[in-house]
Amino acid sequence: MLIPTSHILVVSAGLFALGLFGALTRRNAVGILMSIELILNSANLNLIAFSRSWGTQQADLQVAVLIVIGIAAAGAVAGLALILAISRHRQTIQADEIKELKG
Amino acid sequence: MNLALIPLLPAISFVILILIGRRLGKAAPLISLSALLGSLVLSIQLFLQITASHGHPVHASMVWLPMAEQSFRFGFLADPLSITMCLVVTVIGWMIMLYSTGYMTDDPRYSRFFAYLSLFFAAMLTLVLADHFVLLYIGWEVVGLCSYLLISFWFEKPSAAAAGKKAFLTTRVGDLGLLAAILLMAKFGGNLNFGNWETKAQALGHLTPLVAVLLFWGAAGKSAQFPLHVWLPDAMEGPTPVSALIHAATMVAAGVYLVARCMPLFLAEPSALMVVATLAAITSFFAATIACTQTDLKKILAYSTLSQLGFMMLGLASGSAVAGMFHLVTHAWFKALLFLGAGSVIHAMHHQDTTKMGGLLKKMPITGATFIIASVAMAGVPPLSGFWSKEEILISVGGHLPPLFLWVGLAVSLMTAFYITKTVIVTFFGECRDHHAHAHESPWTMAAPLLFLSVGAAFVGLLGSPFFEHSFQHFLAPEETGGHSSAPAWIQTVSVLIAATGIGLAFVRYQLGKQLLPERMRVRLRPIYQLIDNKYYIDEIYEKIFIRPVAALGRLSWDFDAGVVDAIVNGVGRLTQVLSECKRQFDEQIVDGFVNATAIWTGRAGQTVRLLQTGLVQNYLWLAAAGAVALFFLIRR
Amino acid sequence: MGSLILSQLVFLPLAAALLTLVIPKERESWIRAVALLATGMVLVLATLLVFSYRPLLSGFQFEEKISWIPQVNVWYHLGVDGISLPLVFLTALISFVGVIASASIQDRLKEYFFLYLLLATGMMGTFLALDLFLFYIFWEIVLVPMYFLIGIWGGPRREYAAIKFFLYTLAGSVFMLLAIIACYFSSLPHTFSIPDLTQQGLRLSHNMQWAVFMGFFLAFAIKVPIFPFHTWLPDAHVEAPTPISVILAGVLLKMGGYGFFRISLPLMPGIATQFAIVFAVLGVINIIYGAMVALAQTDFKKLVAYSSVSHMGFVLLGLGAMNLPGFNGAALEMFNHGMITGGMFLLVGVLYDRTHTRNLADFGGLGAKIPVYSGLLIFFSMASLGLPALSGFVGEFLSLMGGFLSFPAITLVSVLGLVVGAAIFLLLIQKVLLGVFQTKWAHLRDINTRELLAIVPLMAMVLWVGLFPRTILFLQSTTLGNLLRHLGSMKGW
Repeated sequence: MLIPTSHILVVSAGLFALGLFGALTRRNAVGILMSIELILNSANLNLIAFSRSWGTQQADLQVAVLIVIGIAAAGAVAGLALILAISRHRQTIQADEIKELKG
Repeated sequence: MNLALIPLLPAISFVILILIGRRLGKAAPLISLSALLGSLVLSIQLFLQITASHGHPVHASMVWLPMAEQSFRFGFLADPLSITMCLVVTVIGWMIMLYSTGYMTDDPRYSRFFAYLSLFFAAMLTLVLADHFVLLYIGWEVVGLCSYLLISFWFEKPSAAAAGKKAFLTTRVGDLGLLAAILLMAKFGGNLNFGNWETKAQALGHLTPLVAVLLFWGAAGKSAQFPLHVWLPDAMEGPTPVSALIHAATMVAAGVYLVARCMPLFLAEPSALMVVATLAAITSFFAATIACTQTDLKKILAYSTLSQLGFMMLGLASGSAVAGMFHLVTHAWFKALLFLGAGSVIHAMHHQDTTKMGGLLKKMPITGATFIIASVAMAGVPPLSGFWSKEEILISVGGHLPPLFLWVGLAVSLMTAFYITKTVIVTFFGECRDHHAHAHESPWTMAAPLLFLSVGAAFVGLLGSPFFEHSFQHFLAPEETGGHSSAPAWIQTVSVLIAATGIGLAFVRYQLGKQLLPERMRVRLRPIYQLIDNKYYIDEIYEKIFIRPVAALGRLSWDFDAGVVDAIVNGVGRLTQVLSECKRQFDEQIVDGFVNATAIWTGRAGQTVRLLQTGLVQNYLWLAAAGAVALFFLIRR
Repeated sequence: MGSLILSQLVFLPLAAALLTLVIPKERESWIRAVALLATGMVLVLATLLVFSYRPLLSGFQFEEKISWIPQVNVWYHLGVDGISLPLVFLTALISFVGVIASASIQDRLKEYFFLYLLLATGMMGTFLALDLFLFYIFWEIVLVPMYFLIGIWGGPRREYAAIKFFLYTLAGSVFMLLAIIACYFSSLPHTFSIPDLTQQGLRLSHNMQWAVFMGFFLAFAIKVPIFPFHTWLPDAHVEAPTPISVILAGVLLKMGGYGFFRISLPLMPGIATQFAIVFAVLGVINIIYGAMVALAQTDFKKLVAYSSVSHMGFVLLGLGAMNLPGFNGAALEMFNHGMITGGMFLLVGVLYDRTHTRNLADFGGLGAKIPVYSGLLIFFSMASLGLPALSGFVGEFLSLMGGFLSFPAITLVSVLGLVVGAAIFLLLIQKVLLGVFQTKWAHLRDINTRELLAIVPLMAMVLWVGLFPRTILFLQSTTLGNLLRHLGSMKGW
């Protein structure tokens, strides 16, 4: 018995909402990064769900998922490296205390 | 070559003296005296050569100004007329220079005096020997310079400095006439060489009288003829040998020489001669009247020179160059002697006021005796030299000019005899009126020239007398045969009588102390005496009508230059500044205003927008989320 | 003799100027030596030039012609003829004398001599250039160093004088530039060459020719200077340091007269002959007016400056005469005036260095104290007032004679200027040398050897030209005769 696509989409939407909420409200930069990973994974879930419903002949969406995972990993690396540098430099990783780019 | 050496020798002496004169000290005159002696010897040699060849002139020339079509060839010309002048200048000049060695002996600028004298001789001999108007003009101006330098020689005296300037400027006014005449002859008369007078007069045509009068104007400046006579009396500020040399014997005679030289031009047009005659008569007459009233020894002689120069001019105006030249020669001798005698007196007395002299004959026998000889010669007592030349002029005037001029001539003779006798009496006879003076005879360097000149003053006239068959006249102008025929025969007698009358009147008035006129008439004539005593106020008149207006015009021009011309220039500058200030305002306020406004508004917009940039990552995220939502709604619709 | 003698004349000073730049500032004697050597060599070259010039040949000699900007047909073209030759010699002599007289300059020596030598190049180039473009460049080069030389080393009002001089002259040269461009475009093929333009004449309408003529006239009139464009001159002369006054009077004023001879007359003969009477009238105004104003001066230097205005009137009169004596007189008067007034300014400087005043009322009776100086002052005064046997007379006489042949009435008026001219210098002598000696000058020293060295060459020239004017006239007569033939009026002599 297949799980209907709509259910997966609901889960995915929930994940997205969680991620967005986390990204907007967390003060800890690592938390924000984790939330962004959640958002990305919700997108991945969506893509997988649609790939299944479209049939297996086309692997495009699955390829896209792999790319997103790759990018997420890269993003996590870059983000964590930045955070590490900031934490060394400023002794903090609280997002609202860092406004180097204020115009 | 010998000819050129005559002016060249004194010129060389001038150069030597001006360069190393001060180191030579008292030896300085040796150079100038020997140089002039050289000129003297050469002149005599030339004279003999000319007499031997019966007046055939000696000539040498070189190109001075080359120009394509016509060049100026300058040179020296020794003909009877110029060699006569040359001899007068060198012989009398040498005597005066010798005299100066004694007279100037205490002067701090001793060598410079002789340098100037040498320059004067160089220029004067150039003038005399020139064969070309421009060369003559060169000499003419340089003698003027020397006259200036020597009048102002004692320049510490302001009056001497002023007198020199006055002399130079007044003669310069005369020189303009000469220059204008030269220009006219250059344009219309063909060439400027002496000679070919007839063709020159023909080429000039109706301009001949104008040229002649202009030439006379030049001569009047140099020879101090009315109305340019004012400088000569003031020129007496110079050392006395200078007065004798330049302002009595030689330079002032240059005008007479010029007229004599250009006589053919004057003869071509009798109207010019009338102008000359009139001015000469005026000068001669009025100067004689002034001489009668003066008490300054040198001033008397100065006015006497004026009068005698007028007399020479009168002789020339009668058409006889010989008569004028003859008087020039005799006058040079006796007037030089008079001045040197006066110099000797001044040297002894240290002043020149005749009212404080008297009885000097006893103290200074040589000076006194020679002075008396010269005076008698000038008064026209036969057989001394003045008599012969004066008679020659009177006869010529009587024969060729209206009778009025003869009367003037006779009146001048009378006055001449009167004032010179008066001078002799108040100076050398009677009692000395200045008891502080310790007059003594002058040293031999001064006495010897006096003695030598007195011989000349006495006997030079004989050369032109019947005793020597008028040899002077024949030498000067072989074709002119005396012209005695047309003159009234009584002139000779009358002129002797007149000289005697003049001497007699002076004797009665000053030796015997009798008034000549009754008291009543003397009171009546007082204003006229005043007028004469003040020299007819001519200096004052000139001051009013020439000098002050010119000075005022100068100041006016200067004010105009600074106040108008330069003010316009500065005004243009200021106007440009004002305009540029306006442009600056326009530029800053309007043109630049637009540019700045753009920048300002851009800046303000930026200020507003930058508020968005908080630098907080989550703000951006919020915005991104909001944007995504907005996008969602936008796309959905 | 090298064939590039003219280029050497022009660029030797420039090379020396560059050399002074690399000499350390402290080595003042080196700098002076370089300047003296350079101008001395120029003088030697100029003398050689005079002696190797062949006066009887027509046309230009020692020509150098190299294409410079071929796109617009500009040539580096130098040449000398009878008009420029005396002025070249004058420039060389005055530059040399000026270096000697510069001993009184003490501060910023390096800059001074750099500018001085640059000035020498500009002046020499102006007299030698035969290409209008080149002429204009040299003409303007003269301005710049002159501006600084007056503005830095001048008297109390130096800035005013320098700016006035610079702007006035520049204003004139702007019109000249327009005229030059008009000449260029009127020719076929387009050329700046003065000889070519002379030969083909300007292909312009009569009115246009007048405009071109007036353009040149303005530039030259300001330089001469002609009344009423003369007021920069007294200010510049008075404020400039002594050697620069000498150069101003000696050389710069001649550039105007030279311009008339070199450009205005040959290029526009028709207009020039019509304009002759204006030249003569302006000449007379200059003579009388300059003398009158000089009469009222109390400043020694200003008096001499205004007498310059008067003297330049004789140049104009001779120019306007349009005949051989007149031209000869005008050209000679330029040469003579350089020597005489140059000497006069040297003498003013000598007295000013000692007394620090130029007010004539402060002097008096100096004749007894400083006899050598007095002799020199009298000598140059006499030369200035046109005493025959000194050079001033010859030029004035020929100008007057030429003027008289063409315009008798006008010339007779100008003769009056001679009397006023005499009055000026006699007053000067009287105020400075004659009269009662003032004890405040008891320590006045007479002229020293170095100052004598500067003035004696000028004196010798004045005397030599006065006695033997043919030495100069001989050089210029042929060229002037050709110019007259070109003008088509070989009237009179």
